[in-house]
Amino acid sequence: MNGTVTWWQGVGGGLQLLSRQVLGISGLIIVVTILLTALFGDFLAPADPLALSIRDKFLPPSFAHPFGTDFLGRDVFSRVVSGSRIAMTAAVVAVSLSAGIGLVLGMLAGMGPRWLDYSLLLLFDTLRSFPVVMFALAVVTLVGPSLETIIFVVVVISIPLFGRAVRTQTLALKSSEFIHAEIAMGASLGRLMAVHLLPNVLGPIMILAAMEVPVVITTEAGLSFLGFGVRPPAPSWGNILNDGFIYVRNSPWPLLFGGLPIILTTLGFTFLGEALRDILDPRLRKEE
Amino acid sequence: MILYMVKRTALGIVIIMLAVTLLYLMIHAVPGDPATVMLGPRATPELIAAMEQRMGLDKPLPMQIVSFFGRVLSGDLGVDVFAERPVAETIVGVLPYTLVLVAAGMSWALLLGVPLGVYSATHPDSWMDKAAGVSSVAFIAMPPFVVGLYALLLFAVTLGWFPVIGGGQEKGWIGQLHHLVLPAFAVGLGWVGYLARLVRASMLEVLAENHVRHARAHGLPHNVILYRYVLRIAILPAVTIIGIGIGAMLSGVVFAEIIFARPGLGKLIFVAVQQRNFPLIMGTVLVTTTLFVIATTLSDILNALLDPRIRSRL
Repeated sequence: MNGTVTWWQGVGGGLQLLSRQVLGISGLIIVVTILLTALFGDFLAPADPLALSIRDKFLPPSFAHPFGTDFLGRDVFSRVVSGSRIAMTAAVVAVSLSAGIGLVLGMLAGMGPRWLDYSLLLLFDTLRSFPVVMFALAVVTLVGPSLETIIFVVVVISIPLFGRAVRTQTLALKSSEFIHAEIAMGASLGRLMAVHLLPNVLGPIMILAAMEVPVVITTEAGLSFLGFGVRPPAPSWGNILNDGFIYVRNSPWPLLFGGLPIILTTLGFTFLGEALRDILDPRLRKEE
Repeated sequence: MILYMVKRTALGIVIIMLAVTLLYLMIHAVPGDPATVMLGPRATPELIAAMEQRMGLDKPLPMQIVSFFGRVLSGDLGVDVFAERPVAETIVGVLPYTLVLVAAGMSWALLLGVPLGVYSATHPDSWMDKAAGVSSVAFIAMPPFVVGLYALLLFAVTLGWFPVIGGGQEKGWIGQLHHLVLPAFAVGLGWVGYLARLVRASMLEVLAENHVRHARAHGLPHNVILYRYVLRIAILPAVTIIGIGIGAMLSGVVFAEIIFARPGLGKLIFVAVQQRNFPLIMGTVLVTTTLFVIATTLSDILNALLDPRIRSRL
């Protein structure tokens, strides 16, 4: 066992490093809290997020309604809690899809022939040249607004990010001795990618994934806010903001509390992503 | 250098053409053609056929794309079938508002972000550096539309310092500036954070390099070293990111224009999507994508001018 590290030693060391970073820890706490809220929101929400009570509209924060009520008398706190599930679903699905596709394309670009590398790079550059919201609005017009549409848009836009990072990493690894040895021993391209390259590109992928979650959440909330995302009355954070925006002169509370979870979540994932970067790959700090 | 510029420009043009082709293919790949979507479920087949003919959708797809490029090159972005006027005219009419907003947002981000980064790098681990570091991350984490909504809530609705609605077209240039403050604040705030962090990181890196030590050993004044030898190199990553920043701002601008009811490209596409006005949507996406590609191409070329090492990379 000389020189090797068992997994629990690895995890222990990682936690120790992470704890040196106050921001990393607070990021982790925020992320865990939001994930738990998304999973168990139904038990946490004091009221039905869709239940109307017109008589109680525009109430300021109180004990019964910590975040106040909106223009239909719905409990904003329950809606925010319930909205975390929509945001997290979009984030998890979109980030894993784009990371997965970007991973494969990036490794292919790095390992494959030159023409494939160039074509994929050109594809990445093209996909990145659309301003996100404009592109999203065009897609929404075509296929109609829904959570699936938003996830599709974010996946398309995010693939280049993962693809490029994986390609760079693959190119660097390609010339290393252990890969040469594997090729000399007759390893197939599939084996090279799955067994030898994958573990080495997972670190950067995880960092990027954490950093990409805010992008997904912001896009979902933004499009829902415009009325082209998750359909109302579903309590997406963007929908809460839109209701709050329209009735801002009646009550500022829904707008105020609708924005908070978005800021908190983006902050949490950004802190966590940066802490991960410091732990997993100090070299990446320079490339910023 | 000229070779690099030519190659980089060619790449930019290829990217724009690919992007437009992709967009065009996508429109045709989805079930339900644009004419049907535009006219709604109660349209008769004759109406749909007439609309398709008007929009040139009755020809084979490759033909459509080629003729689309031909028309775009001659400045014709098609006819807005709802307003009965050329799309190009509509877009040119609102474009200045968006460009001014992007320019204002980027300018104040640069004016605040770069000095903040320089200060943090020259005073590392001071309380100011730490405060700037934390607030930079916070600024980056706040999406522009949330910043816009909060700014609207605080400065326009609660305090009443700034106007809520419109671009101030009728009030002269002071009125227009007054109307520009909050939207520019919203689209620029995140970039203050980005630029501050970027400049700080790259300055610290350059400060540790040999040529700086050399200059110090020669007894050059601190400020001369800082601004003539360090900042000139350290500013490079910031220059590159401005191109991307303008592209990202084109997204933020959509929200700022809607929240503050300003005219502009964002407002235009928002209304176009509500009307399912395909020619207008295509035109707006085309123009914004082109703007984005021009911005990134220019910043790459500028970067190559400033740093000769980059030229060999393309």
